[in-house]
Amino acid sequence: MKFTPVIVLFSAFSALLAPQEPSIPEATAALYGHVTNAQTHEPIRRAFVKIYTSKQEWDELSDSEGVFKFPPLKRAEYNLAVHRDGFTERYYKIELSDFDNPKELPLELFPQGVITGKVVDGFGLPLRDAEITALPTQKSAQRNAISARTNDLGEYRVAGLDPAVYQIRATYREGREHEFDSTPITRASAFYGGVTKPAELPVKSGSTISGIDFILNPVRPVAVRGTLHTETGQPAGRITLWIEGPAPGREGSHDAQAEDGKFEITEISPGSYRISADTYDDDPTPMFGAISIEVGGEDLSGVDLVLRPAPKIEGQIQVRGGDISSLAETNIMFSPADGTIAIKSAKPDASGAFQVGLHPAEYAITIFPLPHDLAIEKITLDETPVLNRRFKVDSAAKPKSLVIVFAPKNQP
Amino acid sequence: MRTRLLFLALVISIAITAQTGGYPFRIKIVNSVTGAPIPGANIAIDGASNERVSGRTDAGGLFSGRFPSIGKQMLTATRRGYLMTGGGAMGKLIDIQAGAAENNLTIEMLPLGVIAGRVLDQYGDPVREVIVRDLKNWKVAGQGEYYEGSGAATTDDRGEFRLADVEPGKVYVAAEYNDDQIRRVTQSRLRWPEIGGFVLFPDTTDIGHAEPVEVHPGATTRVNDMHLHIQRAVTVSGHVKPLSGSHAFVNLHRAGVRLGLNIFAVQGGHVSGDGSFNRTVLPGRYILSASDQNTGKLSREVTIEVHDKDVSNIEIVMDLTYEINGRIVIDGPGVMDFSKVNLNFLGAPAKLAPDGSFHANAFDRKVQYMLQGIPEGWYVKDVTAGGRHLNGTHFEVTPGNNEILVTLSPRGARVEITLPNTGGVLDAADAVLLPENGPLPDLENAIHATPQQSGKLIAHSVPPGIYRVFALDATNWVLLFDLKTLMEKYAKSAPLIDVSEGEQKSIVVPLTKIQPE
Repeated sequence: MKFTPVIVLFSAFSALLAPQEPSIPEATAALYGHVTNAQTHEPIRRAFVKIYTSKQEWDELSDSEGVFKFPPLKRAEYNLAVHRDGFTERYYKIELSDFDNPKELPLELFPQGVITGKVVDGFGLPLRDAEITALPTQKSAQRNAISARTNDLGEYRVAGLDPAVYQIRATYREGREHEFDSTPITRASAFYGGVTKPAELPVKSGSTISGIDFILNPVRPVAVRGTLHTETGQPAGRITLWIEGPAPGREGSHDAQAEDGKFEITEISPGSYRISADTYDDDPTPMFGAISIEVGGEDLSGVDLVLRPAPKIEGQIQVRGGDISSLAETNIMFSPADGTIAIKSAKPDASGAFQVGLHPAEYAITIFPLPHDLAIEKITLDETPVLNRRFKVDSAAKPKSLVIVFAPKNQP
Repeated sequence: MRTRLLFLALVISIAITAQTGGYPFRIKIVNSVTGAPIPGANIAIDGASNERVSGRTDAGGLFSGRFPSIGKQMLTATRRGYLMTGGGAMGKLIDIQAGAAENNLTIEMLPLGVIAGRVLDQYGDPVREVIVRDLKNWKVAGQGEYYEGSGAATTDDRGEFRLADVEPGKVYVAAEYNDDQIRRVTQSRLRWPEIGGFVLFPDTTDIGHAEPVEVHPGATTRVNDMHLHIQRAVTVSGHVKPLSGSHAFVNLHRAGVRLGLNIFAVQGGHVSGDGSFNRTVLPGRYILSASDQNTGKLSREVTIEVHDKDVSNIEIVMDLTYEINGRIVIDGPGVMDFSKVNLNFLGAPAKLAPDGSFHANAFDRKVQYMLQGIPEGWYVKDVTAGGRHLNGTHFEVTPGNNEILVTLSPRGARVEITLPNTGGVLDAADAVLLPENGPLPDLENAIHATPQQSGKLIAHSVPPGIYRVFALDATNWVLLFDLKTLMEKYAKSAPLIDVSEGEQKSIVVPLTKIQPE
């Protein structure tokens, strides 16, 4: 057995694994062992140990001594995984040699980290039910965000943190909890260390970082109102709006609509926001606009948003050696790389042509649904290859030509 | 002279109000036990014309401002950990007066209790993400006895929990766990078997052996460690006969008194297209049943004991029908258009013929009838099931045919209620007539007197009988959802009336005095 942790990219096959089958392959050895804490060497009880192949799996729970034992298994290579709340999941390989001289398999798990603290309001009174989220930074992007809520003393413990670097966000909402509740809604949110440059907390295995305290002042959400017009002063028609919350959590981001050159966006908490505006996808003369605003504790009126002609993409779908009818239901999505503006989409017509107006920004292209027999062969923008499906749009007025070429998949 | 002075005072008052935009008020929120001010409480004052002033109390527990109109307004004060006292379930009526230098009010809030403790597993290790709830005993007509709670807390990595906002009194404490939440957050690359468990304080799974915990206002009650026996969940599977596509519905719930548990305890869902079903449960005793609304067929209840192994090949046969056949007859000379009448037996609609005969298939042996669309002034005089008179709307049916006879009368009484000293629409929200004898109706079947433009409240279609009349204002109307409490605690303050068939009765009813809780 290899004792080094196995770091492999497990594909979705695990979701397809057959349920545990009572019929066991030809038995040659009953694998057994114990699970211990890698730092304290104490036994870990109630840990799940899984032995699996791509077709079968067996699960056992460790007992009061951390000991587990599997039924006899056929001599073969297997994967082994150990899972226990409070510890980082770990993977091993079972090799043929492990069957030659069966001996106890020592499995070790590393305890996860914990971040603790307290949340109070402006009076210094504990805030209950505030949500504290540990957000992995980009350098720890493979980890998940984990949350906890404060108790009546305002105390929280975010547990189950695998070693990584985290930023800590606190959010709070109070009021209108049911239909008959007339309590006004108030909200607050903050990042530990400040929203502009949140502190980065390195969490190590088994560590507890304490004293990550917050003071939150819940305030009534406010409305932002303003006007939309073109550079020549013409009021805009139907416009979709996207208000982007303060980075990095982008708390409170949501969409809104505008009619007849006026808009109102409600449910905004104080902070820095960016509002982006776009004409609807079917508008033949796409326009765009964006503005940054600071929202305080009162409604904000008189925001003036100027719309300019959006850089236009004139696209074409082609299928090498085939017809494009199988792409009739396909959508082409343009996702802004920095996420601060809304995703745009386009749908090709019967000839495969499409148009879309975008903001000057970097975009990633996603195409779905993809017919099962076609694959993307190449994408070009003004005849320049688009690599990794990402391209930049500048503010030049001249339309750009985007060509997406599909080709039949190679048959096995 | 006095009139002129009053007029002058009114003019001055209006002038002041016009200059300053409303009538000043100052509200102090205090802890009803310690008398200490409560900062950060949310205050909302709602007027009869949708005016609203809201805000939060300051460090001294004060909230002041101006309200645009005088008269009775609804005040609500909320703060986590406290419950407003001295008002009704919906709030407290306050009287904003003109001419007052300031409308000074002190509102008390009761500090709620906290139950704190720790949940360990069978090895003494702390368990994280256990849901801990408070449970109270309820007995509701037609629903039987059950235990339900109002709050929940989750344990942290040390197994510690603090269940807050518990109303003072005795409650049971339940802790339930499955690792689904943890698995979802950690997004394991593999699929792991489900594990879980539940325990009632102190360390029992039988509500009969559970002990209530006494909660005191503003205090934390620390209970002994609770021990969960965490087990692997197993599957209960089988198939339903006869095969009818995926229409059949399989219901599985824990045997015994219903507890307000969410995980594993109650599971329902349609069968697969081949009639098979599969449910994941913890070891224990369960009741399984199936029904098919398309065919009206249902099964007998199957009790299964689940140990630590999967239970498979359960066959549930839907061979029962609870057929309801009957007729609506009219007592007296009236004529009824039955096409406008809706008769329903707890989700099973009856097909009504022009002559008043009907047919329905009930989905359970416990049935409640609901009759809607009968004309104003008519009432249900009598209902018999199998020849026996029903007392209330609930009854039980037996497999096979069940004969029901509904007698309607056009001679319902009309009761007109006048409330003395009404001070605005906030006063009179609803009045309800509850029978002095016999079972209490549910909310939908109770006799309501609704407010009219005239300010009076009128109840139509009142069957003859003796009733208690409860008049509830806007602060208390939510008590309509708890008629049992209304009758048990406040019957003495509700006048008793004797209504004869076809009578037109006018009475004066004071607002029912509801004691602040």
